Amino acid sequence: MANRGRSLHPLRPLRPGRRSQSDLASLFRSGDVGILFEPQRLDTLWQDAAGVTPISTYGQGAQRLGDRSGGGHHATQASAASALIYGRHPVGGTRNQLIQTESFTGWQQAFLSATTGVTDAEGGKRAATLLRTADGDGAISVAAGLASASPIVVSVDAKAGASDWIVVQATLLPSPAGAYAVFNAATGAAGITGVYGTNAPTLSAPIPPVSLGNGWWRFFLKFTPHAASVGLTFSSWFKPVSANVSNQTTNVGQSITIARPQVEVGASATTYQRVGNAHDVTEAGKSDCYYGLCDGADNSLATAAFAWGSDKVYLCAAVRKNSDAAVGIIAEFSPTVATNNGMFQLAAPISLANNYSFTSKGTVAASASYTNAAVAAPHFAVIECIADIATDTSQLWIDGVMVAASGVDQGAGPFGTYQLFIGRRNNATLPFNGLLYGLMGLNRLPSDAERATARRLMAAKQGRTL
Amino acid sequence: MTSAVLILPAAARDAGNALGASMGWGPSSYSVALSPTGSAPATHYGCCAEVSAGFLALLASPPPEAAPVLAVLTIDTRETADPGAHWHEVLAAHGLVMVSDD
Repeated sequence: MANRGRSLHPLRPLRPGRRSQSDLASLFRSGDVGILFEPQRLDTLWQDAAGVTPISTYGQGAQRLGDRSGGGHHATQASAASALIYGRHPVGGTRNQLIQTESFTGWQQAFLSATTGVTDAEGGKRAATLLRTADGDGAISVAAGLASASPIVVSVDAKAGASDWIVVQATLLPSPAGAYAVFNAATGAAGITGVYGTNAPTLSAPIPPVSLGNGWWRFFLKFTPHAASVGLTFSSWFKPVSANVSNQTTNVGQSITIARPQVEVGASATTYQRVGNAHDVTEAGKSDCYYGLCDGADNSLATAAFAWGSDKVYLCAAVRKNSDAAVGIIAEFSPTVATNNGMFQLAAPISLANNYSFTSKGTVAASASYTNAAVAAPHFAVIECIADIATDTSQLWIDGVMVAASGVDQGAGPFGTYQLFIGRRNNATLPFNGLLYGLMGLNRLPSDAERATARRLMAAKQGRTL
Repeated sequence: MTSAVLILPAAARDAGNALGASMGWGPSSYSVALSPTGSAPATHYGCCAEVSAGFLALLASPPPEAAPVLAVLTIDTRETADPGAHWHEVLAAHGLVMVSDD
């Protein structure tokens, strides 16, 4: 099914008194103190800290997240460069590493012109006809990052035009290095394949072409990069040629039509994902998951200072931890644990390892940390944190399972009056690298049933069931 | 939108923040302290932002008042869903790490 032209999801603000168990806001009772941030709620997302200009598209920075707890503890960021990035991905996450896979905007066109909006194999208008307009190695190409030496699959639909043949090619760095496979788009026959360069990749066993009907075929190039190429970018090239050759510098007028390009890490080709900008990815038949991106560099928000009002904390956060390479603060109540009492902190990771950690501190810090390969980044999690200073309780739960607890005497409470920082310590250091789908905090310990509701609704934001 | 990593020498931070503010980016664009060792004092300050084609066009044809900042500005742009990786790669390429608060 075509997956195009989708607009931002409609939302209706909820009316007081009509909240249901399908709404996290229903967990807040009269008198509760806390926060509730849900980045998929467009009625709470703003491009500016003052809340004047709403978010209108994916990839925009959110400088204001409205608090849905009812307490008015909205989180803001004065500097646009440090705003959380609003985006969406399909359930399961993003696989297609390309951008603008249907408009081809920003793709490099060398010695050819691309006409977009052409009818594709499914009757949509997602294809582009490539016409060689000058002598040279005519190609359309786009770059992507190369994070590891794992196998990569390049996929593309193609239909013969003035050319029967198409070259699917990957060019890697350090240059020259690359791999290619040639196909006949009229018959679906596979042609020659090859690699080149000092740091040449390795070709894998070919993936057979797939007939899509109406003269369309889907072709694949699978290769494993050389270690020297890791950490650099590489480009996917698509070239119309008149014969079973990898390179042709003449033959102006050759043309071929392509659609639904995809580049993914893995052993096999998977279902096509449409990519607009890098923060707008969808997949036919899969729900969208909406997030605020903390970039691991400088993205963070903070509330104004408010009194927590008790010695108890319940936090529930839905996140995707992208990296374990640097300490990251998801949320911290106070500028830092080091010098402030009556505070709490959720970190992912807390050291350069596969972990999560929760710290509760009356006058003494009690940390519940969990290190395990099972939570190595990238990792989706619904994290619950439970603390009670009076009973020396500090617990960390992941996906409904308690994974760590501390009974250290936390000293005296209650929790204090501070700003709540989201994404960085004190808006300055220890940036979290990951996606935030939801964050709630409550100054009481909810019932098991309330917690189950919180977990279920948070997991649903990630397309998961808990 | 495009991921942009921008780095300024510490001495140019105030001027960079002032330029950013004049462009509507708010008061403290360059908020990440950087140094070769990760220890204070910061030698540079950086930021990582999603920027528009209009912003990139402005860099290509900047107003005169931006010249002193642009003369010492390091900028790297990339289309990516992983700006965090972009950020760390650029820092590594320039021999800088984030200053720890420990």
